[in-house]
Order: sequence, then structure tokens, then C-alpha cells
Amino acid sequence: MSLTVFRSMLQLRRVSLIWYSIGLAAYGWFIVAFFPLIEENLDYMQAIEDVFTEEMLAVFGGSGLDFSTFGGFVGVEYMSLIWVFIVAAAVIPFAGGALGGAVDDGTMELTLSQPVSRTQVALTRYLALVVYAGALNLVTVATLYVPGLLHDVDVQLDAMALLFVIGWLVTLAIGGFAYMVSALSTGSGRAVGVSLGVIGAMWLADVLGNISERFDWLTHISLFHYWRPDQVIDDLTVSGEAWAIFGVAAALFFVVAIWAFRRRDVV
Amino acid sequence: MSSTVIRCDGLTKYYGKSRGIEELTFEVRPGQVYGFLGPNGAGKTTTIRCLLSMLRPTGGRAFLFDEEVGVDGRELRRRIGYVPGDVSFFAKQTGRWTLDYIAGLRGGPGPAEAELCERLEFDPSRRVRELSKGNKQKLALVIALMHEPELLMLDEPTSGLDPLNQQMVFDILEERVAEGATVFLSSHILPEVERVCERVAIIRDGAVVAEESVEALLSKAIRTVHVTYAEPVPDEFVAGLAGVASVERFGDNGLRASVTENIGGTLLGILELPVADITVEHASLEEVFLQYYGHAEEGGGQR
Repeated sequence: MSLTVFRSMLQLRRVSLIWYSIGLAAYGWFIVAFFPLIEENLDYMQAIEDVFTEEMLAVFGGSGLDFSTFGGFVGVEYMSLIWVFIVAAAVIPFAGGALGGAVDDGTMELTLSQPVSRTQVALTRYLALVVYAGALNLVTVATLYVPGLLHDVDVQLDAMALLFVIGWLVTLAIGGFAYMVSALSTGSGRAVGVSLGVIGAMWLADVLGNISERFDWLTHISLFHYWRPDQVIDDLTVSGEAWAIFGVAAALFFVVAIWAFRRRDVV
Repeated sequence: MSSTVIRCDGLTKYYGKSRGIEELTFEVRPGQVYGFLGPNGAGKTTTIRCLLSMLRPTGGRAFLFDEEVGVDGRELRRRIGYVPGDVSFFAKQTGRWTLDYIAGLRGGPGPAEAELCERLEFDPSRRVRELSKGNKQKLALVIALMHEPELLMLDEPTSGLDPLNQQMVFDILEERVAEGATVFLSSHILPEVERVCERVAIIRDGAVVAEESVEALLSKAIRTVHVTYAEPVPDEFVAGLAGVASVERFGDNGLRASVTENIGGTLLGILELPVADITVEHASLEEVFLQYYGHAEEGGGQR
């Protein structure tokens, strides 16, 4: 661990952290403020839902949308899809720039020509990614909980705590994947492109699997299948499968990234 | 005290199938100013990056201060100041931020930082992206020198500097060497190498083709003898001159001869006719270098 590397990483990304936080806060607040209106007009919502085709509903996470609960509404309109892409857009460039991007722009050579080891640099930059991801998730739950108090929406604190933890793990699985690709590449472009491509492909796999029984198996290779914020918020449950998959992904990508970065040429 | 500061033993680096350096063997002793010469693409930067653990050698071994270079040689790098051939910094940050960043990594500010900024006339308050190439080079030099390291690894250190600052850099290097530092200077600006280095290696196509003291290298080099005789020189006399690599006439009575070996014996032959004037020109390091490269190796990417 190098405090200088840690501080510099967060300092270099502070502006993007502020902007993404503002985006998450604004979106979260809007969704919470809107929920009481939805709750009062469930019949209309049901009528709208009936208009949608099964394929359209699948795009938003499958049939059986439930707008009557806060978790169901927030899940469909925010956390299941939009939120994933927002945090991915935040952590993937961070991870891409941390190793491969720094090799490409020469700042890694500047750092590694000083008395600091590769392992130290890779570990510390990952730790900065963990803190960055944690901050995004803290903003996410805070801007659901606080507006809930202001708009008379019953947002459970323990549900938010659980959402924070599992959301952080999901963010680290996404960021960890980008970090691993970054450790193997020169430049941040490949890490960003591959990671966003994989998330996009997972979303398509989930949609396809929800539309057709023939492709049902595809949902199981998609993070969107295991990421169920509606259940976290309404029922305070996270399946063991989800804990295991996001936990193993986050840990495995991190370990491979450190291993790969120690072995690669910094040029 | 270490017996060698740098030692490469058959050091080899391939980038996939393309050659970086091949079977490089040389050593640098404490207090030496060692020149590492070669054109772009010869393998100078690759060698330095292997020594700094940026690159994993394909074969052979590299040692710094008698300790084998590994992936995580952080304590070795504490003793080294490095100026890369292509300097890069955090573009949006200031020179001050960069100096503080390096100070943080080294556990404290460099004792010579203020003095170096003053002598090199470097203003650290400006953002790196606003700096000229010369000012970025000054920042790299301040970073390399401010902690007064035992070994300076300098890859084209005066690139982009004006003559006055080049002079200042060499003055500073001479002071550091007088204080006991070792300098490993990679360059293709040969007059500066000739000025400061006591020993050089010439690298070609990734391999060392000559490695000796500057003095010894120059003594083996071509000398050009210009002779003006007192009377016209017969063709048979010119044809019979021994020990000359080439000879040409100038004017009615003049000869210009290139001599590579046995300068004494060759001069005795030249002086067999009455001479009006004679001068012997020593080859510069540049000419020695070109002897090894045959004037042919220009261009190519940095390796």
C-alpha cells in the first residue's frame, strides 16, 4: 500500500466522482419523488403494462413488473438496468486508466522508476477503485433513503444497508473485470471497450433469455439475472447464488489482475 | 561498497519475434561516467528498462549494486535517479504536484529540489500540459537528481534543452560524479558523451560491438594525415605508402591519408620525401561511432 499512489488516484478522479454522484443523486431523488404518484395510480400503471408486449417487458427485466412496491418500482426504473450502466460508466474508465492507461501515457513508468513495487501499485490502485465504488454506492443508497424521508416513502434503512453491500460487490465485479483487462493491455481503450461490450452482451443475453424459453440458459451467464435490487429493497434478500457469483467474480478478477500486472512489460 | 553498479550478463530481450537486445554483457563500476551509444532502435532504451524492471528479460541477467534485478526491486530503485528518453507526467497536474508525488513515493522531499529548480530555471507552478519540451525535460532532470541518488540513469538527458541548459546539466553531472555518483548515459549526441564519459559501449542491432575507455577507442580510430610536400609527389611513391586505409591528392603537392593502425610506421613512410607542412587530425568519437555503423544506420523506432 502506498498512500501517495492511493491519494493521487482519487485526486485525479475526484471530478468524475463528483459528476457521477450528482447524476446518481438526481436520478435517485427523481425516482423516489415520483413513487407516491405511481402508488396512487396503480390501475393506470397496470393498464400501461398491459399495453407492452412480452418482449418489451423482457427488456426491463421480465414479466410480472410490480410497481406497487418501492423495490419493484425502483428496480425497474432505476437499479436493475440504468444504475448498472451508470456505475459501469464510472468504474470502467477508472479501472482502465489505473494500469493499462497509465502504461500508455507513461505515468506508470514515472511511478515504477521510484522505490515502489508493482504489487504495491496494483494493490493500491485497486484499493482506490474499491473506495471509489464504495462512494458511488453510498451516494446511491443515501439518495434513495433521504428523499424517502422527505417524500413520505417508506425506505427501510436495513434494506439500504444490504443494497449498499451487494451493490458495492456488483460494482467491484464490473470494475474488477475492467481492472483485469487493463492489467493485460496498454491503453485504457481496450479495457473500456471490452468491459462495456461484455455488460451490453450480458444485458442482451438476459433479454433473449427472458423472451424465449429456448434461450433461457443465456440468463444464467448474465449479471442482470442475479442482480435483483427489487428483492433486496422489498424482502431484504440476496440469494446465495448472487453472493457467490459477485463475490467470486470480484475476487477472481482482482487476483488475475495483480498476477498479470506483475508479469507484464511496462512499455 | 558494491564492486559494480550495473552488470549485464548476456541480457536478452525479444518483443515477440522482434529483437530488442541480444546477449548484452558489460559492467559499470562505481564512480564511472559510462556512455551507452547507439542510434534510435539499437536497444539503449530496452537495456535501461530491463535494468529498471520495466521489462522482463527474455534471457540473461541484470544486476544493480551487485544485486540481481527482479520485478519488485523497490529498494534498488531508491538508489537510482532516472530520466527516460520520452518523458511523461500527469498532464493536468502542475510541476509542483509532480515533485510532491515523487517526494511522497520516496518518503520525503528531495534535498536538492529547490537548488535544481533555480539552476535549471524551472518554474514548478505551471501545469505540465502547458510546459514546452525543454521544460518537461527540466522537470524530469529535477526528479532524477533531487534525491541525490547514487546512480543516475539518463536516457538522452539533454533532449530539448538549449545550449546553456545543456551546459548546466553537464556541470551538475560533473559535480555529482565528484561527490561519488555513477552515471549511465545513453545518448546519440556524441560530443557530449566524449566530453563527460570515461568509458563507452557502442550498441548495434541490440548487441555491444565495442566497449572500452573513450581514450582507447579514440586511439584505435582513423587519423587523417594532411601532408604538403616541398615538391610534386610521384605516383609510385603514393602507391607504395604502407599502412594507409585510403589516400587522395590535393593541390599539386598535397596528400590526404587515412591511417587506422601503426601511425608511427606510416608517418615514417610519409616523411621519406621533403615535407613543407603536416597535420594529423584525431578522429572524434562521432567518427569512431560512424566507423562502427558505416554511416548507414539512421532512423528506426525507439527500442
